[in-house]
Amino acid sequence: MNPTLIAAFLRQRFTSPMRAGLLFLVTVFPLGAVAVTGTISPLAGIASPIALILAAGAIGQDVASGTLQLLLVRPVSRPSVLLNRWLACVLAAVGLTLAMLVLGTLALLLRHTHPDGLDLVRIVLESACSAAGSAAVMAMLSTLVGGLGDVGLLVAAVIVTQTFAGLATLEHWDWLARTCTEIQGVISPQLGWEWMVHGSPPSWFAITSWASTVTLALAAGIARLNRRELSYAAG
Amino acid sequence: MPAIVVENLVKSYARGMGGLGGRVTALAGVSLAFEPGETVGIIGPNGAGKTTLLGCLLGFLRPDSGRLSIEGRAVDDLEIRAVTGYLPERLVLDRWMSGMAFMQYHHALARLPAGTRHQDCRTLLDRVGLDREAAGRRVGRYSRGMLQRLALAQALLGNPRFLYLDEPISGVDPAGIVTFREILSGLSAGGATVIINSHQLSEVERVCHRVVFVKQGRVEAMDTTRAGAAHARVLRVRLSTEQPVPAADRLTAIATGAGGTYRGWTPPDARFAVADDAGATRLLAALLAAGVAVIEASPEEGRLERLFTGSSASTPMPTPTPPPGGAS
Repeated sequence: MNPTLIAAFLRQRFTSPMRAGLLFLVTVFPLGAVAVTGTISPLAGIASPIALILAAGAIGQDVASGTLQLLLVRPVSRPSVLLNRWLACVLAAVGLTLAMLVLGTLALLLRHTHPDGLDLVRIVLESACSAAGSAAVMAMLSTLVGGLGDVGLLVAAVIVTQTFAGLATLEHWDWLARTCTEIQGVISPQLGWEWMVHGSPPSWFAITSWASTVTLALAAGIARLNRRELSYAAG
Repeated sequence: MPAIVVENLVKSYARGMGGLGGRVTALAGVSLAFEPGETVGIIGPNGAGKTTLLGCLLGFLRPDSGRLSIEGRAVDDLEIRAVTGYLPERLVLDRWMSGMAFMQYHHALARLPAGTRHQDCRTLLDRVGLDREAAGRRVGRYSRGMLQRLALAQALLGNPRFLYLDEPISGVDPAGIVTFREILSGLSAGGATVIINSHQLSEVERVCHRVVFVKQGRVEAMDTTRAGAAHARVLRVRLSTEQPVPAADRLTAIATGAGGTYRGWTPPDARFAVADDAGATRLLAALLAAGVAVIEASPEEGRLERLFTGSSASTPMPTPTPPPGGAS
């Protein structure tokens, strides 16, 4: 863990007006929904978009601009750049989610509604897992293309899988539906923690599947970044 | 033992989408060695492979074949990077930071002591001529010259043992160039190996001990410069043809008396070697005092210019020839 890399990356992300605006949208609207609906659940899904907003272009933008070269002259390895940026996205996404959950809880208390403590813990854990998954996939995509091309890749992947999933439903092609579900699981790795609330045993398959997806995404990103040539002469 | 060794370095790039257009060779078997404390200039026309060579030395590019080592280690060894400084040609610095924050960021990344961070950065910014007001300003608002100074300051963090400078004085004002020379001189005296990639031939000749001329991915020539071997500067003095031209022995005597050397007659110019600017002034004063009809004087085209325009690196100086029918 390199606090200098993490702090600089997050400072750069939060001082970008476009990212700050998007973060405002994905946090404030769900918070308003909590106040209106009287349940904490609208905040359950904000960690993943926060992580995506922060991780978009995490490597590709610096490769395209050339700032990564200056960074890599320092005693910092390429894998550590990727891992620290991924970690920064996860920490910031979880931190922002926690802050929103605190505000959401306060809003509920003002309505004389008491959110379930175990449910809050579940949301925090699920948020951490989805943030880690989304940031890992985005960071990996960011090593493949320059600038914000990773956003394009992600959007294209989502559209294609959704289209094929719709086709599979229409034609009753179970194999295709299953494939699309698997691909969607890879694009947006998530891990449910309902078992903790219900007192049932954890699904080791789900845990292994999520952990392997995150690990593979980071490993693929590191492998790609290690092979990447950093020069405008390289084209 | 050389600090940096490059052996038979070959590097090519894929051309076109997916390499369908074949490959273009940027470096075709480059072998070089750089000594500690040596300042070496790499010159050559655009597309010669200079930036690719620098990219390979910095670990940004992977060579197709050949060997690169710095103090016997791999170029991307973190211990080597801890003592490496780099000033890129494209000044794409973190625009959202202030100049001081940028320096402190790189100071921290370079694993330098946190206790002296502010003072170290302040000292270097002062050294390159960026005052407190400039240091507090966002990098995005810097002029080209200020960016160049800031990039040089970050390259100097931690007194690097290996310094790579890509077009270091591009866009720098004359005062900045003087500062650059002083800094480089200090680094060289401290034992740092400095590699400069530049088109500013006169500056390369002035600050480098050695120059490597790269063309079409190959080392075409290597030569020591004036800074490296104290080459005399050659002055061309045009004499009036309306008066008899002095004989060679008289010109030799005048030159010797002024501390210079008569190098020969290349009509309509007499050529003299002098040690420096003061020597040139003394020589011209001596010629005028001796009644020689001088109508123009100019420095001869530099050795690097000749290299650049296609002459061989080892072109000998013309041998002295007597002026035609000179009178004493």
